[in-house]
Parts: sequence; structure tokens; C-alpha cells
Amino acid sequence: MAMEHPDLSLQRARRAYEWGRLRYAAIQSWPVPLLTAVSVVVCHEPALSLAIGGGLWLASLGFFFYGRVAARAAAAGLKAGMIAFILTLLGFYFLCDLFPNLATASLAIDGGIGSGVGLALSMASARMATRSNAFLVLAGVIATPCGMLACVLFGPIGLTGIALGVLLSTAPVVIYRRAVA
Amino acid sequence: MDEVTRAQLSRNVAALADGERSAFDPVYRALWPLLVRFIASLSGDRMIAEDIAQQSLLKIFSKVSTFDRSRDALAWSMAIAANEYRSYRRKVNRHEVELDDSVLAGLADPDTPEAAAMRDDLCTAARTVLGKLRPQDLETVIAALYDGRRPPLAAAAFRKRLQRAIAATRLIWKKHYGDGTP
Repeated sequence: MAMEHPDLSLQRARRAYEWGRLRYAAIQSWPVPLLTAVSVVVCHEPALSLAIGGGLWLASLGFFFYGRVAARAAAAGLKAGMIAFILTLLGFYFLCDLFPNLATASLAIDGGIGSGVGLALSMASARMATRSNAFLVLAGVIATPCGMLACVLFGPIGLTGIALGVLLSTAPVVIYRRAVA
Repeated sequence: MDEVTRAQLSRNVAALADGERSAFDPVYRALWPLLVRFIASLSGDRMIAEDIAQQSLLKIFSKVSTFDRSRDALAWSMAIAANEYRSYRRKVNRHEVELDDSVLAGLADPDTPEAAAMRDDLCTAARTVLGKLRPQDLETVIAALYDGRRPPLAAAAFRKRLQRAIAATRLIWKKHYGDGTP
């Protein structure tokens, strides 16, 4: 069978597999360019939107390409992030008037959405049989910039608010799990 | 293939779809002989079977990330291989039809003295060119032309050697008879 198993053929198959994974990763990352484009149009800060979107796209591509827990986390992070993105836009247009100033509104709306996303991801990670902490951290890495793409509307306080919200709702879960493990 | 091995293959393909690179070698080792046997049973030619099995494996591995875990990996792989074989058959048939049409249309009556003289000239020219080839190239061209005994090489290596031999033949032909342009 040595004739049927040339190294060259094995290498070509391996290359085909890796290219296939890259294609798969690009397809799975479809929401990122969409959210970035919406952010560029709506937030009028193209440089910031493109910087966040570019970083997010690279991270998403890398996670899906790598596969395993990273790919599952990226899928969950993108879903949660898209919801955060939509809620943030709705919050900006419909809830800001309820607050005395934009800074308070930013912290309350974006922080609240960030915390919600973090809690949802924590619950999703609880269903993982193994590597639930890795899942939670990686999903947070994807979900946070997704939400941030809409938080550009609120400015730096909004960006900080959502990041803090996700961090404060996921970090205790990670720390607790590590402590009891 | 027994049920246990089949289930193992499905698990390995699912793991590969999940990005588990360590499942690559077991999947490759399990699928290669199966695909060769399967296509050989369709085509009746071991060399063609190896070629198409190789193409099929490339397609399988490039698509494996989208593999649906509820499906049977063996059936999925065989379906891809069968498609590859069908594409190959279609390509061969189309090529034969094109060849028949163009060659037959251009052929003059083979019994006329002109046709016989042209045939003799071509044979002499071909012998001259083939005589100038390296023995290894000559052996390869003859093996390919007459479906004779092939050198002990992998299908891909033989194809490469044949490609080189044809390129050398063209070069010698051009040197002796020009490239047909005025």
C-alpha cells in the first residue's frame, strides 16, 4: 500500500483540510462585516468602527479556524454579540431620554447590556461538559467587541461600559469555577 | 467494513469537523483503501481508481468542516467519491465526442495515395522524434500510448513524468519540424 500513501498526497489532503477550515471560518464569521458596515454607517466614526470590526473579524476567523471549544465559543459569542448590538442601538434611540445625561445613559444601558450578555454566556458555559471557563472567556472576547460596534454611538464611556459589564458578570463565574475545581 | 469501524469513522470525521487535527490521520488511513476499492469496482481500473480516490479525498477534507454529524461518514464520503467518478466519466465522454467530431471531420479518405503518403511521413517523423527521447521518457510515452506496463510509480508521479516526456517530445518535434507557424 506504500504506493497509495505517498507523503505528497497526505500533505495535499492536509492542505485541503486547512483551506477548507479557513473557508468555513470565513463563512461562519459573516455577521462581523455586516455589523461593522452598520456601525460605520450609523455611528459616523469609521476609523473606530473599522478598527474594532477588523480585530473582531480576525479573532472570529482564528477561533472558527482553530475549531474545538474556540469555534463553539465564537458561535455563541457572535449570537450574544448580535443581540447586544441590536439592544444597544435600540437603547441609544429609545432609552437615552430617560437619563439625565449621556454619560449616565451610556453606563447604565451599555453596562446593563454587557452584564446581560455576560450572564447569558455564563449560563451557556454551564452546559459545557469540559473547558467551560475557556468557552466563557473566548465567547466574551467575541461578544464584547460585537456590542462595542454599536457602543461607538455612546462614545468612550459606552465602550468602557459594555466591556465592564461583560467582565464583571463573567469574571466571578470563572473565578468561582476555578476555586471549586 | 463492520459497524464498530464504521461508527469509529463517523466519530473521527465528526471530530475532524470540530477542528480536532489529531483525527486527520485515522480518517485518511481509513478512507483511502475504501475509496480506491469503491472506485475500482466502478471503473475496473486501479490507476484511475487511485487518481479519483485522491481527488475525492481532497474534496472530502476540504468539505469536512461542514459535515453534518447526524449523517453516516462512510455514506457521505462514498457519495462524494461517486460524484467525482461521475464527473470524470462525463469529462472523458465529452473529450471522446469532441475528439471524434474534430478528427473524423478533418480526415480525408484514408485509402487515397496522398493519405497513405502523409501517414508514412507522419510515422517516420514520429519515429525520429521518439528515437531522440531519453530512454526513461520513451518508456513513459510508450506505457501511456499503448496502456503497457507502467513503471512502478505512484499515479501522480507517473502523470508528472508523462507531462515531462510530452514536453520533451514537443521540443524535439519543434526543433526538427518547426511549430507549424509560418
